[in-house]
Amino acid sequence: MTAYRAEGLRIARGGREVLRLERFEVPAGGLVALVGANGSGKTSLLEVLAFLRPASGGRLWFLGAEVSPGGRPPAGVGYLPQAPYLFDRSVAANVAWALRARGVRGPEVAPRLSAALEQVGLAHLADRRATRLSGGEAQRLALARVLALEPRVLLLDEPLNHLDAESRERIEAVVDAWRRQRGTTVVLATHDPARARRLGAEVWRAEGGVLRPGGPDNVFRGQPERPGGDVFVAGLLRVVVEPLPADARVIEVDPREIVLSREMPSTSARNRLRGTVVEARVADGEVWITLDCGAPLVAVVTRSSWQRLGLTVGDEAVASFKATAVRVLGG
Amino acid sequence: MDYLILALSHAWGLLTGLDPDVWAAVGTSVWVSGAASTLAAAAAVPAGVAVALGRFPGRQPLLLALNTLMALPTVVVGLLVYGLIGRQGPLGGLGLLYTPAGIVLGEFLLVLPLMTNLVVSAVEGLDPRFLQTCRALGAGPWATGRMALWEARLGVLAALVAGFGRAVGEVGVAMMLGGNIRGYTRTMTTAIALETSKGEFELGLALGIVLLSVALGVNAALFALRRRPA
Repeated sequence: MTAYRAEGLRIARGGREVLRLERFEVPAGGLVALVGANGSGKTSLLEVLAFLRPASGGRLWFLGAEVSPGGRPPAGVGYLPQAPYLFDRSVAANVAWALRARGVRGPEVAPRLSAALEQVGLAHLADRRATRLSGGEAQRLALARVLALEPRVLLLDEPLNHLDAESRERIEAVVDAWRRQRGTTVVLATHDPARARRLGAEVWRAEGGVLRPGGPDNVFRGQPERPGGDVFVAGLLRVVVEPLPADARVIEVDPREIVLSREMPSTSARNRLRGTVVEARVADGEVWITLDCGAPLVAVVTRSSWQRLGLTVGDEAVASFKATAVRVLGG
Repeated sequence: MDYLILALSHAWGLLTGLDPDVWAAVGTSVWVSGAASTLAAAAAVPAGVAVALGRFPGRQPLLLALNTLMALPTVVVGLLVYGLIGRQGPLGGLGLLYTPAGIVLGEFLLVLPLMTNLVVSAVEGLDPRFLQTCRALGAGPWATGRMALWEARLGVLAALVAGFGRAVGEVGVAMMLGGNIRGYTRTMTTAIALETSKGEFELGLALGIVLLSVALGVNAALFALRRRPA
């Protein structure tokens, strides 16, 4: 059983195609993280999955049934946008309205209302005007409003951005509890892939107008060469990492931190890896270059520096980056 | 200058002296335009919300027509309704011409496009996330419309006040359909026009002051409502 299945789905924004999904699947009860830069189409994709806008092409199935464009959103989808809109009424009225709008009536309203507020820790603010809540409280209320409808799928757009620690923990805990106890499917857009992977998410990457499975580039699994040292060994790759905890098992190198050159550069960067260019791809005015250094290493350079370098597939190049630019993602 | 000050003090005397003619005109004005704008509101508020939220063929032409009708001259409305309820007109048998009900009908038609248009603007001016939220929560058009009315309540109230202001301040309809009959269909505006043309400048001025006060009162109430801490 899949929560969502997409084939050749095309997503446009303002008449321009921003994202293409050749094959995309969200298993029921699964946790999927959409990773990508701002403007890569993550939000537009979530809006399509929430049935708030039609796809510009392709086919989409929700819970096994094909979705026809333009229909009213089916029950069971809970969408939490990045900046939720709250009605200018009390906290409780916001949730109660959502319940009534979905046809919940009479004695059923009160218990579901209080349960929803309880979960997100807003029961004590039930009579507060929603427009007077702090950013974190507002996000929690929006989540409560969605959860009161008992969704089978939760679509969360950067739910933890710019929130206070309490709200972040609450939201993470509530979403996690729904997933574990009710088997709720969660699709979440984030630009923190490390956090998503820690939660056990299956990561999809929106990049260069295409959604692909798999985590972000340059994530390497391995271990420190020796405890207390600063060299991390991942297969054939040796990377100097500073600082390097003894229990580090996964590291990540930001493709934008890597500088490419033809010859061995005389910089202070402690990582200088020689490799062969195996792929070069233009996306959004930048060039994504894959270098085989014993493991594929991806670097992003601007078009102009790409032209200056004059590299083509098969050429030799050197990738340099600082030891401090490497992120340790933990075990 | 002295003339104006003298006239003002005379006008004040007429007002405080409870001149029955003055107050009869005030009363007629307020209830007639109050009735006309209440009826218009009853139609304009649901229609405005529906037009603002709905997507149907003919919506753009309708909005264009509403916009054009907002600027309808009062005498044109007077003329059209006269043709309708005059003795020869299709509704002549109802005997509405030269009655307060006739003015109510004319002012209703005058104010309806204005109110509808302002309600449409108020609802369309809502945060675009409002509609998305309603859709995402699965709300139907009825629930969405009612919540839209609540969220846009200040703009909608302003629309009602603007409608009442237009009704109470117009002369053309009241004159042509009411006939300016003393104690019956004489309104503040028709009285001002008549008295001034008769040379009774003080009386006109007194009524002008009341007219301004009514407008001020209604707008002050709206203003207070807007400023009220939520």
